[in-house]
Amino acid sequence: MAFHMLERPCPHKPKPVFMTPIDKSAVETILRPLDLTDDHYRRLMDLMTEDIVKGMNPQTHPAANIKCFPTFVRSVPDGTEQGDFLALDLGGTNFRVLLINLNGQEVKMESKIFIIPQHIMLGSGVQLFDHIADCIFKFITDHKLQGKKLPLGFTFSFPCRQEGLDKAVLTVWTKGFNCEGVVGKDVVELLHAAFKRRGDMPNVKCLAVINDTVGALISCAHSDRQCAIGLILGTGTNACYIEDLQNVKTWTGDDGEPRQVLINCEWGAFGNDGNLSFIQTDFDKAIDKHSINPGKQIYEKMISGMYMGEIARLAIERLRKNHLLFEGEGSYHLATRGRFYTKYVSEIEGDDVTNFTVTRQIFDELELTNHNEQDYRLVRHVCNLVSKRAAYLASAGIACLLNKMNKKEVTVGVDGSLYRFHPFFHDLMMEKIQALIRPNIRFKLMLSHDGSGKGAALVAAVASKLKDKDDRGRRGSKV
Amino acid sequence: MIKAGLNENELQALRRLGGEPNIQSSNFQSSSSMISHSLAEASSSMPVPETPYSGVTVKIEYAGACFDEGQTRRKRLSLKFPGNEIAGTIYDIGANLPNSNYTVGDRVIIVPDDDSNTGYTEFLPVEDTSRVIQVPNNVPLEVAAMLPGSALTAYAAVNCAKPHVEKLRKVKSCVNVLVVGAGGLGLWTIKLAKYFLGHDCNNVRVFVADNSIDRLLTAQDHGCYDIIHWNEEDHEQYIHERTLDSCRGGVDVIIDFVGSHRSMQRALKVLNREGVILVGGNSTSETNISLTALAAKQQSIVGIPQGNLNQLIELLNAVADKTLEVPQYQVFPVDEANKVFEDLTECRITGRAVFKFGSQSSAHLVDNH
Repeated sequence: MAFHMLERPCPHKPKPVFMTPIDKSAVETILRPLDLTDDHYRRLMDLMTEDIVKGMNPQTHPAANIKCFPTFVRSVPDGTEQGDFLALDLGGTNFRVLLINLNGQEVKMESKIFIIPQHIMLGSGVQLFDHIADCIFKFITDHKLQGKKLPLGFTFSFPCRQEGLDKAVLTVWTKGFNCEGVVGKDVVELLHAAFKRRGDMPNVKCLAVINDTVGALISCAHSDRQCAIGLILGTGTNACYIEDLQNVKTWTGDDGEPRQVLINCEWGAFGNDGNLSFIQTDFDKAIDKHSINPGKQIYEKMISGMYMGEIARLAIERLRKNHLLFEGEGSYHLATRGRFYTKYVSEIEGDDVTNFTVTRQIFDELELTNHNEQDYRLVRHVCNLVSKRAAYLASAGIACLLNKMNKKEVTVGVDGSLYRFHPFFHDLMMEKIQALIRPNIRFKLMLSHDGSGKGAALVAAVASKLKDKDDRGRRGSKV
Repeated sequence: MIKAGLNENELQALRRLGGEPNIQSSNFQSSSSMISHSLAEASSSMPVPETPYSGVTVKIEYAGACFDEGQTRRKRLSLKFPGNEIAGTIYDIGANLPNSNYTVGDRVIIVPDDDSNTGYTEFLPVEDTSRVIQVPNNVPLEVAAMLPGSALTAYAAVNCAKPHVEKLRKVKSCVNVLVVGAGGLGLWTIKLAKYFLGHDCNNVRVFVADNSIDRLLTAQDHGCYDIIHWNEEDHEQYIHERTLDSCRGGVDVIIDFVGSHRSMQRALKVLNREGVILVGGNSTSETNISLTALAAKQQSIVGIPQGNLNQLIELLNAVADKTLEVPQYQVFPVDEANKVFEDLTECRITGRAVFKFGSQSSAHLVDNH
């Protein structure tokens, strides 16, 4: 990789008095592919609707991109959930243990974050679950909960095929994890096996395993009963929604009330069969080629935080190489894959447009030495295009779900760093969803914070109630 | 490639000093005679500087690997060689010195002055003998080497933070101290905090933040209360949340050895009212501070003072009588300097690195905690 030996910028070297005006058409040619039209988004919605139906049909499910796994969660909380619950949140390098007290609308939470070292992310499944059990034990000890009976809800944010409320089989590792002996196995069983190996946690039992989209939906529904969609816009992207049982042809559970179930779309994989090539740019193709999973998670790669910075970087580099930015002068960092962090996109777009202080600061961090006002404006423009496309693509997905459900009023519970910290994401989505949905549908986008903790506890509470009812029923029948 | 600041001549001298270029440690036992030959050869290959009239010449045995903490992400490091952590033996004594003060062969450390980047050298003439301090017998020289630099800076920081921590302990159930940077300075700070607090330390919690998980795990082994991953890729607000999530009740004292624009802004966001930020002087960054916010929240930002001679002597004694625990360190032969600096910046080595000068090119890992 080329290493540029940089000179310190000389404050006294004279700059030309008149700046060369930029070649607008050259810039537009390079950036136009990032600017999609409503026709593109509508076409995407049609393709997505088809794919969702395929996911819920047993014949087409194995080859479907959008798998639409049923979650076995049948309803949203009804406000009677009570008690103390443990929750686990595993979705990345940070692993959280939470103690949650539910009392009607009141929710109290205490939590601790544990780091998962690299060698455990790549070690054996036994090591991983032993480490998790160890962290839970430390938490229980710190909070003096040893004697207490603790039902546990587990938010496990990796693609799973659920076979029951407390049975989830991992289909593939993502987000940098690769522990052997876990794919194809039930993660709740692996967790309980780790508890058993230790022998010192007899009072902890996992009653429910969910994924982060379900957590977002359930957590939001706790305060807004109209919530029927959960959306994650963070390092990755995914959504879940409430579907009528009759549409879920792959359903293997019971047929009783309520005749609905939450469906985990795993919509990041949309486009895996190439049906999104009509909107993929060179930048997207380059990212896919160099990713750890080429050909997979195509829709996700155009939206989520893991890749957004890189899309911007590639566009910026192309402009630079064509002498449309920084007078063609780059830096080691700007040329390094992955170095233009997604947070820069948020920060640049949130910057003050008179002074561009934050943008300059970022260029300093990237060791770019030649920059002027045109560069700040153009880089901001690139960031606008990239984040707008991401927001609109996600909006098209949500509009697709809203149209499919066809409910009159729906709240969408959203969580994730992109949604939370990008200055315009919410507004962009509100605008675009409104433009793409059927006119009779009304919707809200609501931040569902801490879905992974609160959501898991709420589902565990429901599971606990069902279990108690079950136990009483069985006991009753013996009499 | 990272330039270690050793030019070709210096590297040649090093190679000659070490004997044949590819000598492995196993060869040493059988070739010690060869080594003493090449030692004699080497000592005449680099001219020994003249001993100052009222000073001494120190033969350098160990030097701590020194570089600026805040610059680990950049590809050009500002390295200091031999740096400000030097330990060795007295080689020669100036004619004008009373002979009871020093003896040839005394084990000593040198108090750093401003000129620590003179390039590779084996013999250091020191004019001011107040800078040359004898090392107690039970303190290994490689440990003593670290004291005038990182240990002393950490000492100065903890000492400066102490009155503030004491004041808060009286009124708060729990005082949170956040150390930014889990490198050598951070590790010394954890140990020194324990030393200062003694056994009565259950309401002072020391947290360590760093970009590198490997360094954080090492810090955890040194006994801090908790570690916080400041992942440079994460949004700033997420980092604030993460920090406040771990440091329940907010942060009262922050010791920032990194001192970058981002670390300072994060510090200001998580600092409690009446909180103090102590900043190390390593970084070349500038940052913006809202003066009204500072005044409204009665916060202060203090530059970490330079350590003084008395503190250094106290450090030596504390290490000698084992009331101060020494952080994890490894000794490397000085001809591996380039690789070691690279490994340090990539966090393949966590803990301190100390270079051993002289003929033995066997590296031994000392892991003590």
